[in-house]
Amino acid sequence: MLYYESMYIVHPALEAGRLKDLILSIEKSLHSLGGETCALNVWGKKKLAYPINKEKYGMYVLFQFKNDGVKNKEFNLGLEHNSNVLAYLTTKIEDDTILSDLPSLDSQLGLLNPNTKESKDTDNEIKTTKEVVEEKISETKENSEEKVSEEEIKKTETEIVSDTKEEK
Amino acid sequence: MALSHQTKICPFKENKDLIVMINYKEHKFLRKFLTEQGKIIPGYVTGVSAKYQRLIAKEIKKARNIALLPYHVDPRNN
Repeated sequence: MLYYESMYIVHPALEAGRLKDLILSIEKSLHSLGGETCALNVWGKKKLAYPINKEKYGMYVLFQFKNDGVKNKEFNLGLEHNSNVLAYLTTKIEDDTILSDLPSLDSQLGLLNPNTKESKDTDNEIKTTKEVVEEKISETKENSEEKVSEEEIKKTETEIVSDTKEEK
Repeated sequence: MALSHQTKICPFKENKDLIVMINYKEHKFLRKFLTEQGKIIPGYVTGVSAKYQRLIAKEIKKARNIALLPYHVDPRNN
């Protein structure tokens, strides 16, 4: 068993749900050949250096796995016959280059959805900024009050001192 | 003797950490070794030693296959 990685470009029109199905089906085809998955990294939508099948953009997926080298031909054939895969490249890698500490596939695909998560995040950010501004205003108010009180105290002190001097 | 000062030192022999960057996934780094037209710059221009120039050429060709780097760029289209 050796380590391999295959990078493939998925058609950009696929939605997150269908993309997940495709990735899992490719993973399943590897498992049927007796391979093991090591890491799955979705790079996201990127501009291609040259158009493939008249598509200018593509979804890049990096898939690292452990497999018997003889079975790779069948795995590549599966990618070749998949109409949603624009291009693919399978290479041999060393075991120390395997990616680790990757988030789960759902979160990786969820981050790619700008409509659902980002809008929520921006709302939160707006709220937080509002809160921060309010806090700052209240802080400045308190500070100004404190300053005033301190100045008053100083003034009163100087008055008292001057009063005592005059009395003398 | 004047020629001896013009010899370039291989960047990969100066900094060993750069050797890991010779990978088709690091296409932004590999772009340094391409011309505007998308051709591979020869080692005698960049100063890269023959050993690493061979690796770079291989990785650039892999990156071209997966559309991370262009095969050729027509400057008239830009």
